[in-house]
Amino acid sequence: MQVDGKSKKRILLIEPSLMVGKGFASVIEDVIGYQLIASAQNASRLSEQLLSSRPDIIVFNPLIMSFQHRTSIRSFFNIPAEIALVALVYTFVDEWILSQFDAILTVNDDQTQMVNKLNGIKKSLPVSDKSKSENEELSERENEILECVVKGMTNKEIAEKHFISIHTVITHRKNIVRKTGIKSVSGLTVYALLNSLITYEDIE
Amino acid sequence: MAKSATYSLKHYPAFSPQMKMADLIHANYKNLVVLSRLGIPLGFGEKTVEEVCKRYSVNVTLLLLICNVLLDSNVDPTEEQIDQCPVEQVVLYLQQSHRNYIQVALPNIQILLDRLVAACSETHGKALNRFFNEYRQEVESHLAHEDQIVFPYVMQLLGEPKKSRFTIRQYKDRHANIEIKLTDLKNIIIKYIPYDNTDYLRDDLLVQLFNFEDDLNRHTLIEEKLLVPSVLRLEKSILQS
Repeated sequence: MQVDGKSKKRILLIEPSLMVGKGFASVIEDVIGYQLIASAQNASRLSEQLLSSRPDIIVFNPLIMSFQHRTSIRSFFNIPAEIALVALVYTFVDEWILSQFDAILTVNDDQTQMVNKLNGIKKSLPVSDKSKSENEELSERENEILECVVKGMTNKEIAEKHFISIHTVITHRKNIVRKTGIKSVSGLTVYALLNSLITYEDIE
Repeated sequence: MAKSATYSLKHYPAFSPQMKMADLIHANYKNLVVLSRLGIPLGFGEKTVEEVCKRYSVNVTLLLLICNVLLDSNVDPTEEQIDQCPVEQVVLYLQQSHRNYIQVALPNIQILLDRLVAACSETHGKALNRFFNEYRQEVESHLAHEDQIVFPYVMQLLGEPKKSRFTIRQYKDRHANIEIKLTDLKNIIIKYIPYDNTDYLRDDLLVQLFNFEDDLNRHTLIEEKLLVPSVLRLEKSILQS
């Protein structure tokens, strides 16, 4: 299920607002072309729904969780690693809560952004025999972006080169920093050299 | 000398002037560097913190404040305590810390790093070396800024204050870059350097980096909690006079 983009993704939605939920449903089915298999306004039956409906992606508003469980949604509901967990956000939510999600959709996302974000997950989803909940290796795309960053390209230049929005470039950069734990460009340069993404001559 | 009751810390009276100086070190070995930096040598027998401080003319409130901040970064000195700490001794402590970083900590890290670089492939070694040099230069220039501008400024406030465009407010939060690079360096060494030996070289280097980071963080705390507020007050009193 990882790479094949043609099969219709099956989505389960957990969203407290009826209006937002209905709106999401119509966008995801009519515009994006994914299938919304179930939706609920709270997560009380999530565990059963997981078993009965077997979604590929759970779209989840983190605010429905009580505060102490907000950072461990995946483990709290025992969500298997092969199911992607995506946040649906339209109010301020802390970075450390969002960091557990495979992607973050906001209500202002346009079609391209939604598609990019949802497609972005497929690549980083772990192969099914891995028991790890999250694949932390950099994806192909992230490696490409990283290469541009350490060669000194601006976000705008990177966006133009790869035909993605600046916003997406920033998201990739955030993920790169989160995964590697390296924030400075010179630190990332060392990472890129060690992983042969660039050669020493590229930066001399 | 102030009565002992005035410098028991409000929130965290972990160390007291009446305890044995030796126990201060047993309680937290990181206090060792505080003594060295304040010019107190070991070998004080059974003497108390207060007695030893008196002997070496070190302000006991200052020593205990520093030790308490080292132990618990949430400790906030009261205004009274800040008043009791002579600014020149705070500066002396910070200067000696700098000297320690430049003359001991960084060279020691460099030695281990050089050994690791030598064990890596040429490209990897070059990359690591390049990054560390960049980091080291940043640290050194940050320390030099304080040594050449901030500390002399504070010291001249104590003597005959001249008109100066620099004020202590301009000196805040210049540490961010150094902290980021140090974290980056640790991650690179922990996660990405292809070095398969288990001869403790990499561990030793990391322990030194963690210690150095810890020391720098505490150093920043002393600057923020002690130096800045006490200089702010000094500036104010000079303006008023």
